[in-house]
Formats: sequence, structure tokens, C-alpha cells
Amino acid sequence: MSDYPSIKKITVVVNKALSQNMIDFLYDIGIEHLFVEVGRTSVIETSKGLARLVSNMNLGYDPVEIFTVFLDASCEENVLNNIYHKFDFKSPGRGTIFSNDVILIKHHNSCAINQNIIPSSKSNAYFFKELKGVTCIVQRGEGDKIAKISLNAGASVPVTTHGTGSGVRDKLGLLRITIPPEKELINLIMSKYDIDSVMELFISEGKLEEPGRGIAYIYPVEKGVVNAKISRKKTEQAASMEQVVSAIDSIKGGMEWRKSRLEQNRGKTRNFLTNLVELTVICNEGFGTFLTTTAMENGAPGATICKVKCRSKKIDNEMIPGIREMCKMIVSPQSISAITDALDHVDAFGDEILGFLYAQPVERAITYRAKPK
Amino acid sequence: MTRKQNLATKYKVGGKEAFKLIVRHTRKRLTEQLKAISMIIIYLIFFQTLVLGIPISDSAMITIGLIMVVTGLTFFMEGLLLGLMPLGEVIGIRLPLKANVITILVIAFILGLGATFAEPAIGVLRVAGQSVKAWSSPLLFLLVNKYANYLVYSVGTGVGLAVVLGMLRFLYGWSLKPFIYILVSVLVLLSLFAYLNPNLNYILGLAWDCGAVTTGPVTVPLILALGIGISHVSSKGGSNSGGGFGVVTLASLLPVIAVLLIGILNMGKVPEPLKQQEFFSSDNRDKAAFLFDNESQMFGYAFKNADSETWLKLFGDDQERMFAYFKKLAADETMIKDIFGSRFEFESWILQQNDIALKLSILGSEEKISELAEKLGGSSVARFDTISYIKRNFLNASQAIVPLSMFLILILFVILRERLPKADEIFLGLFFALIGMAIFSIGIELGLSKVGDQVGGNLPVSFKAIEMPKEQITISDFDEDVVNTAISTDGSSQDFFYIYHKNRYNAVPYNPAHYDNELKSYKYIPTRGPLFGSKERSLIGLLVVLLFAFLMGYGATLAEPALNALGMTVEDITVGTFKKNLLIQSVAIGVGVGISVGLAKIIWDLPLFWMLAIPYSLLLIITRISSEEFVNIGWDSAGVTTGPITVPLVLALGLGTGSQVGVVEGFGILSMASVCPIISVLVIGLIVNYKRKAALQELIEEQVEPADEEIGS
Repeated sequence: MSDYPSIKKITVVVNKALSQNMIDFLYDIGIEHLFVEVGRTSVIETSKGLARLVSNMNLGYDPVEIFTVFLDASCEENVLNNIYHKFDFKSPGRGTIFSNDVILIKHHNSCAINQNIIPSSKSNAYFFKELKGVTCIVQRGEGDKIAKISLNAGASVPVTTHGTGSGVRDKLGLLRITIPPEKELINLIMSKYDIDSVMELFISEGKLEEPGRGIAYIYPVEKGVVNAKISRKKTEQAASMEQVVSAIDSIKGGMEWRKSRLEQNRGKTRNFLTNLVELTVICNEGFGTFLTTTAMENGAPGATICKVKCRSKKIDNEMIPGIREMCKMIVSPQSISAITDALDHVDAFGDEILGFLYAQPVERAITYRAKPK
Repeated sequence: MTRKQNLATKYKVGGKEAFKLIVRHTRKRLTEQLKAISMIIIYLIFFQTLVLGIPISDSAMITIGLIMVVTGLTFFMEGLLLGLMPLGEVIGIRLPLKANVITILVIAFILGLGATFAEPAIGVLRVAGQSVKAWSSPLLFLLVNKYANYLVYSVGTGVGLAVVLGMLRFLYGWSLKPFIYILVSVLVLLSLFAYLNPNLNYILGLAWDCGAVTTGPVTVPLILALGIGISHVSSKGGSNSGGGFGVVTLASLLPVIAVLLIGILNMGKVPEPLKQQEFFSSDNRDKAAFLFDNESQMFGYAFKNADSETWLKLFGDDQERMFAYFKKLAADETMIKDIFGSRFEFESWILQQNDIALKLSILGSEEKISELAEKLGGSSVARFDTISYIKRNFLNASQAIVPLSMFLILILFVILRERLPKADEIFLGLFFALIGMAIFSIGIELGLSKVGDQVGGNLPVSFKAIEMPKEQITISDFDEDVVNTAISTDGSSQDFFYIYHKNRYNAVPYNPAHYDNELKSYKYIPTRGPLFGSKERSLIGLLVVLLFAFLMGYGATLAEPALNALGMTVEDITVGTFKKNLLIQSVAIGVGVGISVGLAKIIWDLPLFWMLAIPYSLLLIITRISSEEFVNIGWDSAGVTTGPITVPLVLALGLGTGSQVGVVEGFGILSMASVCPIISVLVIGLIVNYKRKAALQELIEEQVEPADEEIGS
């Protein structure tokens, strides 16, 4: 894995209403190429009356857009600081922003890695460092259950996106139609001190160790800001609870002080899979199934395909289709080279498919595993 | 090595396991459909048996029908998800990459036109127009009968243009709002013009209903999927043009314009609405004849629908000539066929005539009349032909699905030169859709329509006394001596007699019209009602009917397959921020209100123009302040509400009530059921948006302005 260059991936989640501002701003600071995915955040809804009919399971939904930018490691600070100040990420509820290290394996030339970012005028941005990311992939419709756990635990606001899964399904022949491929992906960034207990809740409530339920995995996060506004409750005091919590966070210089809150639910030791990699290939729309099938023939156990929009000034100005498919696979590091070769062999990085292949380490993952006979 | 090995690996699933998988999946899908449809069924049966107190007849057949509806819907929805929608989306994604704009638009037009021919929605309107009389609304009569083909062509052209405009919108990222402003304004003005003209006024209902029924359960998902694919092409497309929605809206508005225009074009050729005698008078003969294919058709129509004084007009007020004509007719088989269709219909028609002189003039003697009455007495029940029934429904289903999907597959092969991805799945899906639709429509005819007809026909009991022909008793060898006379409080007398039936002695009123002198038998038809209120047409009785209409519309909408598909797409496109259930609930409430309002139109004979102009003007304002995405979804949901479940129920309701209160035509309910859900969805959208905006506003500071009003869409 160390043969490949390491780059930074920055992920920003903001309300859809701010999305055009975000894109314009990113172009302004010198970012040429980015990916946008639509999703929803769930928050706890407390309003009464007619609104209760409207909201399901007293969760409120906000449409968000998730921006992914790949950068040279040297520009990370500039981008983070710029966005932090411009979009005021210090107040809770504005959104989520985080960066992590990924390994760029191979890509088509059209997807350039962004460089030369204009530095921010202000620099005192405060980012948390003790964070972890969790992605939980479950059947469509089950996502709210997982999202609720995170909200009830006060961990952070989950971001849900839609995807299509493949795996066991595709090996069943026509019988596959009995397993719906639609999946929901719940992504959240949270304090590493809380992660064990929240993960435990995911596993027990989401029954992730049972067959066909889904998968959850934890990956490292370099630094970021967590969206802590978990409810739409109107503030009755001078400051909302979220504001108080994030103020203490910045005074204490981290989230460790919150640690004791979730120290329950221990007991069962879970059988986590370790030493894995999340391998992602972004390709032109329509080729996702083809590439994941190729990868699965070469050692990937399954894949989830999400639709993302590729944005650059060139795409915006000319009428070039900007929809891409982002295929995520959890594989063992040993199989990366075989999969890369196989993808290269089918011309995945050519002008038609426009492939972009990167990997990020996965610390722990949990899913159903057949018992050895 | 491993590569080849893996390629060949298909999981071997044992028969038992496979069976388990299939059973689990089927059960899940069946439950979904059962949930969707149970509300309306339970409600209808409950209402008829408990509120109206009338038992369900044909219950065995209806049960089979309802089981078929659920099974058919399950297959159909599965087929949509596996076959039709992926097919549409693949074409939508690939088409703009490999074909130029002109090709896309030509394909779009053919698709729209073809969809209209394929889905037999126009048949529905014919049913609604069956009670239309040629003399009271000649233009409407012309359009639903002789010019029915032109009607279909104009609706098809409207839908075709709508798909073309929709695709242009996606390609260039235009907003839907200007289209709505322009089209609705044009429509309101055209309708006003029509409202002021006595002849055109009657086709208003037809025109607006055409817009409501054009988009059926096959077209909507297909066009939605195609639109989603095409809107992916331009990056602007996704954000500004509502991500694939909006075509259904255009396809509901443009056909209305098309129908009104074809009405205006033909306005000069038809006579003004007249009394029936004047209509068939010799002065008006040429213009009246224009409404029919030929003279014998006109004669047939007059004999069957007009009264005997009107027939005289056909023969220049010469009774001798008329009797001579009938004599000639009775002897000439081909003439009978031309005028009445068959000998059977002719003979039943003779028996229905009250004029003995007329009967005698045709049949010759009294014995012949009794003979004929004996002969037809038993055979009035139409025979149920299972084979042709199944054949017809399968034919309709394949007509709706096969040509359209073949056209799309052909485009894929010929223009795009690509393979069909997951071909096995798509073909299985198309097959499911086909058998699903066939089973489902048989089930509708056998089950749902029957229940609907029964409830619809019996519903007026709540405000009016109506006869119950199902409970009819025939007393043979009736002796008129048993009739007694009773006196009422104001001194008037009333004839009655006692009947001994089911171990009970009942006094029933005597009606001389029910006494058959030839057979010496008396037909006793019990009456029932009004159940609510003491007098006929009491307000409370009518309110019960309107409440019934609301709940029926609500329940039927929950089961509509096209709305279900739209809901799934909306949930998918908005990544769950607009849940399917929320959409379906708000549409269902809207349809319920719309059907009540439409029924109110029929009961009190309110002018349709105002009932449409006011909500549509209101909608222009709501559209202005709503976000683009809700506008697209809200207006689209209006087009899909009136599908295969709602329409037969609404027709039964409209015709049942309409015939009891005596109106010209049963049109207009569907168009009301179409406009109200737009209002309800947009209003819910405004509420949701307002809440999101409020939540966001707390956070937003001056340095960041939101992009536009599209917060939270």
C-alpha cells in the first residue's frame, strides 16, 4: 500500500440551501474539481400538532449535500480554514467538515488532484483531532433506526445517503430479485471515546451480526468539526445545550471530558474484522455494476454503489454529463493490487469510464460471517 | 486462475432455500399491497353493509376479484421496479450521450403519443359520457362518439408535446414554473371562452378529465425514469428542473388545451343544444345527422333514447308513415342489425314500450306480444364469458406494455447500439408487469368495480328513496281484487295490498305500472331510504354522501400503483427527506376533498368553470411561493392520482348519484380529484419548508446568503 501516493480527502456536509454558495466559494479559493452527493441529515423533532403527522418517528429531515474534495497534502490547512471561517463552522448545526488520509491508487487525468489553494486570511480555526468516522450500510428503510441511535446517544448528526448494493446477491442468478439491492448508508463523525459504545448499539439494535443485515466499519479521521445540533428544540435558555457543549469542548481542548456519558452497554465482546481497506472507485455513470463485478471476480466480497455529481467549471459550462458512480468495497489490503490490475485491464481508467481509484484504511468492521464448518 | 474460478462461481442454492427466499420476498410484497388496498375494500364493504344496511351481492365473485387485485398489483409493482423503470432510466442516461437533440425530441414525441394509445384511458371517458344525450350537448356527444378517434389523437398529441417540452426542460435546466403560469393562464382563458358558449360549456368537463386520466400506471413510471436519466446529463438539470419530475404535469395540462381546441374547431358543425323534438325536426335534420355515421344509426339512437313524440319528427309528424316503417323494420333482418345491433336488442326494446298501439303495429297480435314476453322473461341476465374476459384483459395489458417497451428496447439496440444491462431481470420485470396488469384489471372488473357499482348505486339511499331491483319479487297470477285503498291525513287516497313473504304479512303500495296485464303478474320492487333526514334531498343525507366520497377518494388513492411509484421515486431523489408516506397521505387527502367537491358539483349542478378557475388561480399563487422541487412533485402527483383504482370507483359514484339527481353528464369529478391534491401537496410542502427555513434561519448569519428560495427542497 505504501507504493501509492498519500493525499488528503476533505468532506464537507452542509444544508442544500447553502450548496451553491459552497460550490462558488470552493471555485473561488482555487478548487477545480469536486464531487457532490445528496443526502439527508436527521435531527430530533420536538414540534407538536400538524407537524407530528408530517415527521416520521419524530425525526426531522434536512436535505444536505456532501462535498468531497481530493487535495495535495500541503493544501489541507488552507481549505479547512477557508471553509471554517466562511461558513461559520464554529456554531453547532452549520454542518460537518473533516479530513482524512487516503491513498490514491490510479486515476484518469480528467480528475485532477486539487493544488494551489488561496490561503485563508484568518487562521485560528479550531478542529478536533480525536475523531473517528463510522459508516453503516443497511437495507433501505432501516437507516432511521441507526440514525436514531446516534442522535439518542448525543454522538453527532448522522448523514444518510442512498446506494445500491451487490455481493451475495449477484451470485444467485435470477433469484437475486428476492433480495432488494437498495441500501442506506449512514455516515457519522464522532469522538473516538464514544465510538465503542455507539458501535455496540449499532450492532445490537441493527442486528448487524445476523445474515443480510448490513455492515458497519470505523475509519480514522484526521481532524474536523462535528455537527452537534442533534435536535430542533427551541432554545429556552441563553444558549442551547449544543452551544454549551461545543463551548466546553473548545475550552477543554477536546471531547475527552464527555467520555463518561456512554460508558454503559459493555459486556459482550464482538468479533470485529480488522486490517481492512475501504477501496473506492469513482466512475462514469452506468459502469458501476461492470466495475464492481470485475472487482468481485478478483477478491472483493461485495460493493455499494452511490450516485455522485462531479463538478468542475468545465463540466458546468459545457453540457458534459456530470453524474458519476462511487463504488465502495471493503477488501483486504492484499487484494488491492489484483483488483487494480483487473480494473486497469478492463480500461477502467480510460476516457470512457473515467475511473478514480483510492483507498483508506478501515480499523474495524462488523458484518455477518458464516461460521466455519 | 482465481479470476476464472470466481467468474464461474454462482452460489448453488438448494430448492428448499430458494423456495424460502421467494416466499419471504413474496410475503413482504404481498403485505405491502394488501395494506395499500385493504383500507378502501374494508371501507366500501363496511359502508354498504353497516351504514346503508344492504348486503353485498355476488360476494364469492367479488372475493376472487379482490384477491386478484392484490396479486396483480404485487406482480405489477415488482415488474415496474425490475423492468420498466430500469429500462426507462438506462435509455434516459444513454440517449443524450449518443443521440442529438432532434432525435431525443422525436423519440419523446413518439413515446408520449404511443403511451396515450396504449393505455385505454379514453374508454373510461366513454363510460362517463354514456348518459350524454345528443340533443342536450351535441358537441360533447360528437367527441365521445363519432369523433372519439380525433379525441384520442388530440390527447395523444398533447401528451407527445408535453414529453417533448419536458425533455427540453431537463436538457436546458428550465424551471417548471413559467410553464405552469403560461399553460394555466391559457387554460383558464380558454375555459372561460368555453363557459360562455352553451355548446362548449359541456365539453369543459370532458377536456379537464382527459388531462386527468391520460397518464396511467405504465406511462408515469416510464416517463419519470426517462426524465431522471436525461436530467442527469446537464449538471444544472438536477438542481433546477426538479430531477426528472414535471413531465406528468405538462402531460396533464396540454391535453386539456388540445381537447378544448378540437372542440372549438368543430363548434360550427354541430347544432346548438336543443329540446329533443326540435333536435330531430326536419329543419335541424342536416346538422343533427352530422353527429352520426349514417341515417340508420341516427334512427337507432332516437328510438333507444328519445321519446315516441320525437320519433314522429323523424317521419315528419306522420304516424302512418312511422307505423309502416316499423312494420318494414320488423321483417327486415339487416335493417334490425343496422339500427338496433341485434334481434335480441330489438325485441327487448319492443317490450319496453308502453304504447300498446305501437307494439301491435310491429308484432301484429296480442298473442305474439305475450309470446315474446315469455321468451325474453328468463334470458335477461347476460351470460358471463370467462375465456373472452381473460383474453380481453390480457390483450389490453399487452397493448399497454409490449409496444412501449419494445420501442424502448429497439431504441437501445438501433440508435444507442448497446446491450441491455441485466437483460434477464428486465425481461422478467416486463413479464411480471404484463401478467400483473392483466390479473389486476380482471380483479378490478370482477371485484372492485362491482363493489363500487353496488355502493355507488345504493349510496343515494342516504338522501332519497330508491328502488332495490335486486330484491324484486314477482307475484304471478296477481289478482287486482286484493288491492285496498287507504286514506292519508290530508284526505287523499292511496292504493296498497298485503303481501305474504318470508313468513310475514306486509302492506305494500300498489303501483299499476308494475302490473303486467298480459302475464297477469305483478312486479313488486321494494324501496329504501332516505336513511338520513326525514325528507328527500335533506342536507344531512347529502352530507353523508359527501363524507363517503371523501373517505372513498382517500382510500382509493392509497392503493394507486402510479402514485406508489412516484412516491418511491420522490423518496429516492430527495434521499428520504420527502418520505413516500407523506406524499401519498397528502395526495390522498387532496383526492378525497376533490371527489367530494366534484360530487357536490353533480348534486347541486354547480358550474365547473368556477370550480376549476378558482383553485387553479389559487395554485398560481402557491406555485409562485413554493420551491421548485415541491412544485414539480406537487403538480406531478396530481397527474397520477386518477389511476385504475380510483377511476372505476369515481365513475360508479358519479353515475350512481348523477342518475338519481338527473344531470347531463358525469364529467368533472376526475378533474376536481386532480386539482385538489396539487393544493394539498404544495401546502404540506410549504409547511415543511417553512419549518426547515426557520431551523436554518437561526443558524444563518449575514455573511452567507442562501442560494435562493430553495431551502430544504
